[in-house]
Amino acid sequence: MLMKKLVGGYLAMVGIPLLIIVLVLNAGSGLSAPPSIDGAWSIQPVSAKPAGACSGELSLLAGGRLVIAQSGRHLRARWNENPASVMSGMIDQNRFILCSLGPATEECTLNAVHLSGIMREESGARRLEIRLNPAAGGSCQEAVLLSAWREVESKAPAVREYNY
Amino acid sequence: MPDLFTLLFQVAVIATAARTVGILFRLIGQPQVVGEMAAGIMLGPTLLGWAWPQASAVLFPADSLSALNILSQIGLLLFMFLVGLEFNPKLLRGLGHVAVMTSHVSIVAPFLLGAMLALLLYPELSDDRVGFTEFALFVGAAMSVTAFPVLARILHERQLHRTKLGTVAIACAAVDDVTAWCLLAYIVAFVRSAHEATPLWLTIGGLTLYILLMVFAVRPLLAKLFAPSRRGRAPGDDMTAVVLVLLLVSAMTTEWLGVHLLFGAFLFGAVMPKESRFVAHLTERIESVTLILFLPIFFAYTGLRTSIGLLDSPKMWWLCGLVLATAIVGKLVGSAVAARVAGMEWRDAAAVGVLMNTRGLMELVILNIGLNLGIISPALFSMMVVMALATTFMTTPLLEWIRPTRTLQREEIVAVQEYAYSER
Repeated sequence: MLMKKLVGGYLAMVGIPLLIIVLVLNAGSGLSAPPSIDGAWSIQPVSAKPAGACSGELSLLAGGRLVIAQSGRHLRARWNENPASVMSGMIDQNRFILCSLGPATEECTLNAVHLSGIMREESGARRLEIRLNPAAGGSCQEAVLLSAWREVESKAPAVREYNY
Repeated sequence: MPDLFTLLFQVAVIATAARTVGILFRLIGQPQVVGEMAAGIMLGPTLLGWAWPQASAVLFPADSLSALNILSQIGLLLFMFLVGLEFNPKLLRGLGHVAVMTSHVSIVAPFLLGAMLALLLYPELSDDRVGFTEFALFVGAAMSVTAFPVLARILHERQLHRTKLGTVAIACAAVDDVTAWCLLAYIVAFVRSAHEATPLWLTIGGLTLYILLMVFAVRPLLAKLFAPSRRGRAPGDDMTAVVLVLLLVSAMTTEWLGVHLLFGAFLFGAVMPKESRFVAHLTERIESVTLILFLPIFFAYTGLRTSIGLLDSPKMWWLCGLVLATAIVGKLVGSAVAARVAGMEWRDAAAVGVLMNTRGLMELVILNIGLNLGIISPALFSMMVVMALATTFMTTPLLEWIRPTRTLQREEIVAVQEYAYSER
């Protein structure tokens, strides 16, 4: 009687959960995660000529480096290894936004400098089209367009070499 | 070229911080290792980096981290060897239905809940470079691990290791650890094979062959090698050197097979003969340096990769709470219910559940592997580190509340077989 109870208990507490795990793995195979934009990106301005009051911004950004640490939909980024430039943001499907450090929300405060962009996939490599939106009230009031290529392109999960 | 002075300075600061915080935690009734884990977190961006970033930048410059990582891996290698040495299959013989039922449920229940939680976490905290299957398997495995070494230490410190409760808990934790490592080996092989040229069947086949070789060929050879020490002759430095070199070879083999070097270290420790005086001698030689110097380096390295600041919204904290709740329900409740169904009194069953909920160092090892492989993201890593610390921290006070030490120590030490086969 005791053995029957134990076998029944074992089947209920081990056998059934194992079956459910298989079902969960099956169910989850249809889920999608945000695209990976994690890593170091080399930045180039789209416009070759510095434009008026924004020439200073363009000069700073040309040849720069944006390092993004991604946790799913949540982003942290650092500009040109400058610890003071850490930004936080979100990615939704292939659109992302990065703001000066603060709670990550889908909408950034429009008064602050922020980046918005799209991730595009071309021939297996990913490219970012970034728009640098200046702070309200500054001398540069035009958005600066940038393009970025990942420094190391790999299908493997990103090796984490940074932490913010 | 790493700066040697900086490295030595780092090690000195880490060892001092670990020992100091460990002593403080002992004063409040917590095991030393919990304090050392907390010290590691404090040295990272969560506390030092946040409160005094200049000091953090001087103490842990970015180009020094690779050397620190290497030292921490060496320490882990030695530690996993010691864990394998402590694992004795004789613990499992004759324990009967209580330990079998409890250990298997204590793996499956949190694994299931972890896999279900992965359905929520994957779209939020992962990215498309990781498939859902490997993500869910990893989260499940991470939820199902028990810190066998920490649990053993808690039981020894409270003089509970020879009680009925202690023997069942130790046996279950041993089974949990071995199972979790086997699961992790498979997951690592699965992830690596998905992105490298070596097919999965080759890795798994090679690993299976290697395990069989270790158990059926190397183990008897080691027994013959250490036979003189069983007859009372003290082992020498040459023998110690042979063991350490073989340990490194085993670790390199599993790393080459695509599993992980720590699995090879654990396996080699597990196949070492247990009765030998040499094993006690070897443990004594390796343990102090490993626990005092190397492990705190691993804790500090983990701390440097943990950033509670990534939990920067109510939603992130809610997810963190969910991770913690899932871990506790799966492990504590699952183990307690299983032990009760298997015939233990409710109080003892609850105590087993509390002990099995201790995740400690083993959890941190697994999480670091997951982060290195990119299976989990930095935010999820931080959440699960919080979970590891919280579940380990809660063990001692909960255990004292459910089964006060004075009541357990009054029990007679009974034969494990007698307890396991008692009729209800």
